[in-house]
Amino acid sequence: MVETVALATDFALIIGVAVSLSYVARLTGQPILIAYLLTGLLVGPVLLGVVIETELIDLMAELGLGFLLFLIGLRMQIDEIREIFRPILNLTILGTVLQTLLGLLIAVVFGFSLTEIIVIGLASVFGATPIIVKLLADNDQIDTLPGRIDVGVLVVQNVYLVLLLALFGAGSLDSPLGVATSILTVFVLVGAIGAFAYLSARYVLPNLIHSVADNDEVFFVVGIAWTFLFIVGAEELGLSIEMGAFLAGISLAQVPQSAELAEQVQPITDFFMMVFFTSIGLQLEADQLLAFWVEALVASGVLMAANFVGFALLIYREGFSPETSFVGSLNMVQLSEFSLVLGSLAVAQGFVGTEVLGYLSLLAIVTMSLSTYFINYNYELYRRVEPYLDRFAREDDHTMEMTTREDHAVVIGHDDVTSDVLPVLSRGFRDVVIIDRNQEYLHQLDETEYDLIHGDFSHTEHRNAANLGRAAFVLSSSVQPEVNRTLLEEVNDEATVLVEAERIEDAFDLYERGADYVIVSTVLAREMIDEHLRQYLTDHEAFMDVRDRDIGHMLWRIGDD
Amino acid sequence: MTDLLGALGLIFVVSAALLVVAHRLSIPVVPVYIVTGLMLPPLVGQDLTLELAQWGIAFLVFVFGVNVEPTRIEAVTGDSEFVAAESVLILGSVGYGVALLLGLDALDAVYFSIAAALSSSLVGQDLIRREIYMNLLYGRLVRSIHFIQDIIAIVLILALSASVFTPDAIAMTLGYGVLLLLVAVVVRVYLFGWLVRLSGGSDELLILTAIGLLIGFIIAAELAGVSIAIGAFAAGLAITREFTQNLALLNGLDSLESFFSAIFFVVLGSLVTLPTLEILLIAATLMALIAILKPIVTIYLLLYRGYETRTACLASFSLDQVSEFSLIIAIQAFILGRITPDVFQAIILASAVTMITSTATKQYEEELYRLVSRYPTFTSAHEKTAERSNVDPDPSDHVVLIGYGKLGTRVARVCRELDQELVIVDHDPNQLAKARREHEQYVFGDAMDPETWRRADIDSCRLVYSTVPDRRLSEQLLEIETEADVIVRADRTSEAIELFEQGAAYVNVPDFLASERLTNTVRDLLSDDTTTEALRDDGTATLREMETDLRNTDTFDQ
Repeated sequence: MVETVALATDFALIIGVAVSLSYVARLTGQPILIAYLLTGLLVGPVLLGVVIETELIDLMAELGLGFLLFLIGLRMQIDEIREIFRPILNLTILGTVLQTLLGLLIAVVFGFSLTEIIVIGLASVFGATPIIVKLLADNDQIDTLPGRIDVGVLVVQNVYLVLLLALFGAGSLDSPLGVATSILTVFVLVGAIGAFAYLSARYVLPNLIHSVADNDEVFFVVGIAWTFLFIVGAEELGLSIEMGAFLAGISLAQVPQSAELAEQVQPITDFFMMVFFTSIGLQLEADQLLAFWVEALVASGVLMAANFVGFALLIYREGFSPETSFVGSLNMVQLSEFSLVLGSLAVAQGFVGTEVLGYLSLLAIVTMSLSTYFINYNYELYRRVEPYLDRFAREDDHTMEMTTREDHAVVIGHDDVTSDVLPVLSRGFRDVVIIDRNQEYLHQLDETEYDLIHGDFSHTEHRNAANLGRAAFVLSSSVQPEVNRTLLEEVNDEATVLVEAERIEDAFDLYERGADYVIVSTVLAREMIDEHLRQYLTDHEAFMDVRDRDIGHMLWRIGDD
Repeated sequence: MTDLLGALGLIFVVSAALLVVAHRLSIPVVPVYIVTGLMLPPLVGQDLTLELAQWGIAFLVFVFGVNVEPTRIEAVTGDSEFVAAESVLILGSVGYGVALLLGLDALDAVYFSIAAALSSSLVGQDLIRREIYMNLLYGRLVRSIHFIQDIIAIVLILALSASVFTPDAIAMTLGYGVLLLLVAVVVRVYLFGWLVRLSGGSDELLILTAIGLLIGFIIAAELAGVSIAIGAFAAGLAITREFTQNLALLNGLDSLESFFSAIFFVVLGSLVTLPTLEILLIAATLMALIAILKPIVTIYLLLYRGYETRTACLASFSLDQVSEFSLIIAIQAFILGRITPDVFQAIILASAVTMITSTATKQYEEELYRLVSRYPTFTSAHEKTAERSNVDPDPSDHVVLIGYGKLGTRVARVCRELDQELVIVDHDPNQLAKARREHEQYVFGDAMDPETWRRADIDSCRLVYSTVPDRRLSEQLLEIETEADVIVRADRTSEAIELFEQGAAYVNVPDFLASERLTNTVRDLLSDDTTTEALRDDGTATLREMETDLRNTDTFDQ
């Protein structure tokens, strides 16, 4: 029987250290991911040696990877990068070839064995999604041209990396024949699962998800179960669980509720990923980590510089300006978090020894922490070198019209209170963004007239998508005080903000926090009721007129269905 | 892949399949998980799945703790704290006696009686989500009764985690528990806000911090020798909901809770082997206590506190199931080897069954209520309600107002100002007191009951005005054969249209009415007919006026 103590000891240490280091990372502007890696090194055999990998940690690390890939699949929205899809595709292919060649080359120079060279080369992919996306979002650069290029490349690159994972998971790297068979098998199997995913996305999932979307917990569990179905299926077929999870995500990405599901899965993924990155540190002994420390340091410098120059040239070659090329490439100069995934998979499969994982870990830590500063000062650095790059400027540089929302109206929750306001807003503002989780309501709206965001406002991502910080007018029909407080915190000072409350105390509180008007529907309704009843008791005909008018109005609203 | 991953896959895939079906039947999730567990073969790596199940307990109690806001505990409705405590006491002691009669030993009998006494807030509040949303009286009652029972459960968990059951040991455990809670309060007041600021608004870091606190308190609980559930509860208290960036945190914790509690309940179900006759007998007795005795006791207690029969019945039909806290108490006893496996399995079986029967009693509540109200013992309360009403012998051309809340008080004011005779009908004892202070004519009773209508002399009135957003009530009022006009309330326009078609003179949809005002306001704003400053001043002024106007009322909206 299980002792209750087993629940906590190892985990308590990991989490305690991870939390502390994360705060240190936060204060020094470093990505949290680095804090996790260091946590593993600190509590693992490298330094303290107080925590060893247990089956539970293994499980959670595996789940972390699975859910991460599921999320990546779930967020595959090709739409977002369609306008620059061609250059992105070119960039991804050439960029990945460049990165792999550089990785191979340097591994050859250092004299690794053949298999090690292959693993290191393939794992030397640059561009870490969690770091780039996070920092660009913090610096409000996601919507800039370099930002879009980077995010686009990362999205496409993920597809390649998932295939690579499947390959690593499947077979042997010993002989060319083995590799070829592995590749073939992987493609056939992926094709089979992909076909299943496509068919279910087409015929089963929309109805299934729709039928449970009104209950958060059922919706969430169905989403998780779908992932597990593919994970276990892929495993049974001898594919990597990551591949299965990714395809599960892709098949669900097509349902309108996918963004909402992604937001719900994100927290457990974060939690398990923390365990995963920690577990990398746990696998390493001190001598394994430091076996190639000189090589790792040299490689960090060389790869960062070479990848930066190479990738910048590639972007420039696609017809973008020197500035875009410089900044777009500078953002990408860190090892991908997938390199560690590939590395630990290669160790697990016995392709390489733990030393190679140590090399990759050091490479990741150095490049990730340095690149944070590059990303934070990307435009300042460009200003420094601008005079020298001016002569590369061309007349016909790509200067994309960026569709950033600005001075727009945001409506949270479309319901009986706000529905009549929408036409008024749509006349007053160029863009009206509506965030609502209830698709029944959203169906009634004309997609050409409004931008619809399907999901719960309480999720950060949806708020970012609506670009709340730049809205000129915000109307919230949510009566949750937490939602409205968050809203008031995030809008800019000039915006006109109307929020709804149910309780009088909440209404006063919201006024204090800067709301321009607080709608309390019962208070407004009371006034109308008063008016109507007076009419009823004193001037019955006038009352009947109001009655007929209101019935007509209500029918008109229902007619929208 | 670890075997465990396969086990988890099985847990979630089977649960999801059953949930999709159960969702159509409006069955809450918890019993579905337990049934999933019953169906599954013994899970591989049982030790590890049990360990994951512990995480489920931790997150369940943790999230409960986070949601307890000491500064904002809503005014507990009326006497629900007495009703909650009394029903726990009565069912607990009856359960204990019955268990002894069944031949269980004293300790088993304690666990048995706890299972009989506590009701599940997870299941119950899922069932009455609509009523809570509409803020109906019995929805509020059920919610606050659950809340009190959950708090009682926490105390029981604490007391039962004593290493030996001597007064000294229990006192010491209680002492440690209180100490943990004190530490939690200190963290809440001094440390947590600082951490939030330090995290700089990073959602990921904030959630990790919360998990860190959870683990920290669990470790502390283990060191102090009390149940990890107490640690989890203390950790929940250490986190305040009252900060602006809390949305992501609360959502994140919900996801983690959903994930791990699913595992917990399924694992719980999977611990039941093929039940023997003895297990079935114990389970059946427990079910009988919960499904039959508990509603009867609760109905009586509510009637005794002055609620009318219908409210008492409907509230009771949402309280007739085993609590998730009883399951936590049982599994912890199981892990410590303090409960006989037979009794443990019986409790799990009974919980799955009563959670499902509770769904049924909720769905057929009206039928059950009619059945119950036929028995004179339950209707004797009518006498009492008659005493608590005050209507002139022969009113005529009056307005019958049903529901005396935010909207109702305004209706009453208009009538008073226009010298219109008025009879108020309400079933909330608190509203009755207010009506009594302010008006001469009122009827205390269930608005759906023809007896109430007779007392309000609905036949001779000119207008029936209902401010209650309950569809069933509205339709029933529209079916009364009377000359009078009927004005009702609905919360959605689609429902309002149907009620108009059924003959309503008018249907108040507060949101619809509010939207008319709001649309004008926005139009004025955009065309610069008004400024935001003016709007703000106007808004706060109206709000102040309302506040004064409603001073005598609760914030309940009926």
